Amino acid sequence: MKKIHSVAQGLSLRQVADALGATVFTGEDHLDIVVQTACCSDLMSDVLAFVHEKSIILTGLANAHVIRTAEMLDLKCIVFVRGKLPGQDVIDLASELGVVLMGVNKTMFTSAGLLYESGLRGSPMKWASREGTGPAQ
Amino acid sequence: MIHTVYPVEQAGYDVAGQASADIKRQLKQLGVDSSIIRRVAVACYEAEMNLIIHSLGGAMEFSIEEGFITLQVHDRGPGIPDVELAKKEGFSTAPEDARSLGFGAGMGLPNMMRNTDDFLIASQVGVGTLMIMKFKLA
Repeated sequence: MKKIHSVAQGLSLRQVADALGATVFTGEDHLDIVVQTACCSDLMSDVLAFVHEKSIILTGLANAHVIRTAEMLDLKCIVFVRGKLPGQDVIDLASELGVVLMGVNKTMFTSAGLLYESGLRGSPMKWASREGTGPAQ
Repeated sequence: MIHTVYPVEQAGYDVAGQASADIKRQLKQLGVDSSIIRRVAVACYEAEMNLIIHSLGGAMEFSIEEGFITLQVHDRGPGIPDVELAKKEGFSTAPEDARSLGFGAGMGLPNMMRNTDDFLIASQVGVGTLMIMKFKLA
């Protein structure tokens, strides 16, 4: 009988960077952190609503609000897609908070596809903060 | 008892999130359960951004007493004409400058309501808005 492997092992941030061919802007020391899921959004309220811990954000938004959002949720990595470059103030804030920043010169769709192919999956589609109690979306 | 007041100014995008980050730090130092911290942080950040985006300025008051964390958020206007509509997911009146910064998903009030154990909002056009959010500590 075929064995079913249902437990996601996740990817280290180093594997994330490799899969994407990404440039790491800050947080080289934290690349051994393992993440389980990824979320693609340019809307930070949606990230606040749906993203779980041990997740990374893929976004085309490269300002300090993305870092603050990650801080609120204890997220450890943000990937800027479509060649977006964070300003030095954004890099400094991330560095202070221990958040890894990467950049990739690919679309969000392609970046997400590469990570999916590498084994990463999406956050469950339910409210993050009260698991299981939110409406099915 | 802990009681801290954070003034939040209209369009203060450059310091946005600092009050919420400080509240989160305080809760961490107190050793509050991480799932509670996360809920407070999300509600707090949404409230802070709402003050910056929509209000004429206001303040957030953070306090802990008798087993509850309380966030009281009040502003000097302009007030919300239809509070029930503002509570709906996806409804947003955020201006273009806020949207360009990644806000205006219409998830602010729903996010706050989801994360609190007790949520109260009262608003009057021309006067202001008051929100009281409570989180059980245990």
